[in-house]
Amino acid sequence: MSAQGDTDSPVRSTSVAIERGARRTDAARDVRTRRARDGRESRSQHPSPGAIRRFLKTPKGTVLLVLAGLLVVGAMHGSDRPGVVNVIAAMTTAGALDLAIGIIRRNRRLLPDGGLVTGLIVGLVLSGTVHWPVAALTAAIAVGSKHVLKVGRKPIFNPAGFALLLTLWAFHTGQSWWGDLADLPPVMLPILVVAGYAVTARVNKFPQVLTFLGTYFLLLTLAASLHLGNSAYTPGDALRIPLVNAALFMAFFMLTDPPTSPGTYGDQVTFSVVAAVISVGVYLAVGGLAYLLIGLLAANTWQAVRAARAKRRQTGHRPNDGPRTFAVQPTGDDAFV
Amino acid sequence: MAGKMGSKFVALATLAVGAIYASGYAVSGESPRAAETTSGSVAASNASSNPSPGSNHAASNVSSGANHTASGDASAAGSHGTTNGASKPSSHVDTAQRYLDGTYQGSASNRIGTVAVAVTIHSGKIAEVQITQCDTHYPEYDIDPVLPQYVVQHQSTQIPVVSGATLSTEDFYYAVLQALNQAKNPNYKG
Repeated sequence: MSAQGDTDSPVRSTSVAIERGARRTDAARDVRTRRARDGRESRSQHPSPGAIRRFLKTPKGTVLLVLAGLLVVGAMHGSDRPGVVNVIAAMTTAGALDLAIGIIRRNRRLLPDGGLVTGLIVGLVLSGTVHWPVAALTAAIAVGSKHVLKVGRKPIFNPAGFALLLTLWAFHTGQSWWGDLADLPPVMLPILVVAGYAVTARVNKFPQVLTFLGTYFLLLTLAASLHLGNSAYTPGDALRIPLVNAALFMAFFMLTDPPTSPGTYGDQVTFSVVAAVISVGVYLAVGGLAYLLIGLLAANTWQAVRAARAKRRQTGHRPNDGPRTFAVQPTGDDAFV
Repeated sequence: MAGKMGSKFVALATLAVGAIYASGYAVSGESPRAAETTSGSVAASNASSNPSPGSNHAASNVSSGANHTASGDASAAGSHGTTNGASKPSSHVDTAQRYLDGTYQGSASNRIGTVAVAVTIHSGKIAEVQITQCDTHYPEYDIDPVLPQYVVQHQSTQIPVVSGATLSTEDFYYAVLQALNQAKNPNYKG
């Protein structure tokens, strides 16, 4: 307060203060208006930074960014570098197909980010020795499955997981899961874990991921203690590089796909137990490459059946029956695969 | 959507999962297969008459306790005829031939699975190498037919490591080495 204010009467000093406050408010409003106008002008001249930043904060944006980082790190290994071609082929195909389907359906939102993520996952799982047309075909099957195999508006199966399993059985595609950094020194493993935690936190799936990994490791530990498995596929192998990396990659980036997995924590836990039990069971029984994908798709099936039952109950539900609670799922826009 | 899981709870759960993993890792660390494998690999490496980049790599794996297995008994450096009852060693003995005619089996395993081969020797030379089993986590076509053809063409186990299929290459290498150990001519004066 000024010296003049100290000598004035209380009434006058109050009115002066109000006047000054009003001036300050007007000035602040002017500044805000100017800033907003400048911001609009700036955005109109450079529309991308804000939009990109907003996109990267979405689940799809986060997973795309994280997987792109894993792609760069994974490509440091010479033998995995040819896999980048597959990633490009898969992303291009999946993105184009997703875009085409969006145009045909006259979707308001045409950005094929879901297709791009699907293509990226497909490319990071397929071996670099696989020819790029096979990667493109796998990505096309993935996008096709997303739009065809549905319960309501949601896909039944994780698109990438479905396509990878199908092409593995149909064409014996090589799957090295090089995006899990298994070919790099073990000191790089924390990068995968940190990247996975970033995505898991973004989609709020910690119970799902941690339950899957806990159950998966526990079952393998029990199997090792009981000497289960066969000579070529011991439980110990699944707990070591490179196979443990594949399990982490699947848990972080495929199991957590919002539209094909439950939203509520309780259902997330059950979903993961199904995936882990089936995965370990298949691994111990027959080994091979498909056990993680089979576990994932089995859990997807469980989730689809559960959702279909819930929908049927909801359809037959009378308003006077009282409130019922259903798992709230992110919409298709939040889905990242 | 469910509420956010607290960061402290996430940390605790992560520790629990880590503890389970560490237990599993420790429990499965010293499997009987590993011991069996290591001895088999050492025998195969010692018996090799064609030390190769592959064998150097293999030797380093053996010293670090990697899981290589030689399912047959190759420790006598070829004095045993064959395993699996599939080979037909020739009764003809020729001191000029490094290998005895016949078909010999070999197999090797590591953490990605097992590769088994049948090596056919004709007129003392490697006439055919056939992958009879490729029970690995990766597809057979990563190494077949490139590696069998390479062995036949070069009459050598000095095979190149197939990019992206290093462990499958190792399995194949050990399997062929084991088969050739059985095929060795004890009277060879080369």
